[in-house]
Amino acid sequence: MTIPAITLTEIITILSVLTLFYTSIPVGRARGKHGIKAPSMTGHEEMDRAVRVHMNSLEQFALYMPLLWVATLTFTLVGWLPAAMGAVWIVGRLVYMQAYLADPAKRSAGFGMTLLATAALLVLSVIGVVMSWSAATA
Amino acid sequence: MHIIDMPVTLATAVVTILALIFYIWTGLSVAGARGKHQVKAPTMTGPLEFECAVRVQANTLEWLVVFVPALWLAIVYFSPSMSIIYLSWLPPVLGLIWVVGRVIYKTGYMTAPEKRETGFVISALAVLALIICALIGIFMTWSAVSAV
Repeated sequence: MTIPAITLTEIITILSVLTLFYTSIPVGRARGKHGIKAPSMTGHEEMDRAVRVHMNSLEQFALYMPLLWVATLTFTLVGWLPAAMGAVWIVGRLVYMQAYLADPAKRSAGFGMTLLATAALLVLSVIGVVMSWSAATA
Repeated sequence: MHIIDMPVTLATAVVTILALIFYIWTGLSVAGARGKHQVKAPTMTGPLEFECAVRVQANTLEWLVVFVPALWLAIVYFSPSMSIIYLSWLPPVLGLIWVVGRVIYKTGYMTAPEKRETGFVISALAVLALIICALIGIFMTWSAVSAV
């Protein structure tokens, strides 16, 4: 039995949303630990790092989510590939988060992983749209 | 033909990709200004050029989360409801106007913060028009469904 590509992407979407939520937890923890009251967004290096991890993950999420779906809906050549790239994105985000919270200088590896997944989804989206367009006008 | 394979939907997919490429560009400008002015993470303040780049990226993100759903709601509900073919192409055209407005916004903001308004207004009006299209489309689809 093979799982349809859309189902795979639906699962990845839910996991991605949970990952994004997970990146917001250190912000709340740093707030409590260092007594930083809302709406203040600065106050301690640990807070600054947590805020940047969350903000950057939100930025990357906004970029990645539409591409994941455009790729899934148009690139049907290898159906599971967009969802697989989504899995890479999730792992990359978790690596980024762990590294950045420990040392901002070490954030590149995880960041590069998510960027690579997003870039791959961009390429798949472009190929998918071109292929669907050719099929539609044939 | 399934809605996903229609030329108007594929054009919308192309516009979505263009919007996201523009958003990547705003991020690259932040990274570039970070390197040029030696602003180390997690610092988000510094010289004017860096802060302008940060504001352009942050504001584009704020609008992107409104723009993308509005664009796709319009394509799903508005375009199929329109019997006049030109009207069904309105969502991707408005989407393209949004991208152009954003490019003008970025260029203006990076030149001088007070020059950001023209592009901002163009893209804001495009989003507003897309939301109206989506509402009209949802209303028309709803009417058609409940008439059966």
